[in-house]
Amino acid sequence: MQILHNPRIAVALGALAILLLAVMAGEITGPPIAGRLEARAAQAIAEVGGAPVEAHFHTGNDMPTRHPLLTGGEGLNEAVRNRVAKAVAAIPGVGGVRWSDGSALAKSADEPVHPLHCQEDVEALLRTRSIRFEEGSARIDAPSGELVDEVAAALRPCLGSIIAITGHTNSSGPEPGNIELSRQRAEAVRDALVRRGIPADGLRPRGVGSRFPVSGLEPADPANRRIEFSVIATVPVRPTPVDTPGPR
Amino acid sequence: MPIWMELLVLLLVVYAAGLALGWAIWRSRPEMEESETDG
Repeated sequence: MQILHNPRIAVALGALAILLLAVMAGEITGPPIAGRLEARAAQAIAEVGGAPVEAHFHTGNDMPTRHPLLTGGEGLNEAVRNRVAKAVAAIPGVGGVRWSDGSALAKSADEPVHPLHCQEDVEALLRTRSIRFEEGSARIDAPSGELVDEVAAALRPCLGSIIAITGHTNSSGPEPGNIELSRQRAEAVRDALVRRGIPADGLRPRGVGSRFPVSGLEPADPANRRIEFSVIATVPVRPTPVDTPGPR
Repeated sequence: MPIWMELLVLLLVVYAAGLALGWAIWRSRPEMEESETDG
């Protein structure tokens, strides 16, 4: 026992004893703990409707752990996966929840955003109706307010994209005046959309006068007086931390 | 992390805390006088 009088050796032997104690305790208590957690996790998963998902409370080396690996969630959408992960994580004693497919994207519960789809929606709205202005002015006609509401609703999924608002006129009157008027009308539409909740920094108003008549129409045709929308750049909307999904 | 490894970390932290406490108590004991033994 003289050897224990050396403090370094005593500390090292103590650490070794701790290691053996931890291994033995892990061998004895690990499997029952993992078994209980698996049973509770299966119940929690069933309660939130995540039927094909299984929680495995064993590591890759088949050692019991309190950090489950969830499998079988590849076909589920994001909302269900989040519910399942949160339900399992809420069980007392469970540590970090992981999915077996790691960073694989699940189909979202919402429809994915297609910015160019917005352009089609707006073009469909403006195909048979047009945003009208008072004669020679950039003030939007009162009856066109409803159409502007619908255009704003159609553009809302495009938030984050750059949308060009182009004002056109017919060829009556001097061209510099037409360009100025078409610009003012595009800006009036921009302001109307901003009042309806579309961010101003995604809207680019411009006026082109009578330079681009509708194909098949004479330049003087009044039907050339119009507002056109086009998506000129798609910028992916970055989620804020609040929007980040649950454990993956 | 397997359960035994988590137990190991926990026990080592407690062991280290105990060693630190023991060492602090040992250091704060008054110096033994050399002439304390009976003559």
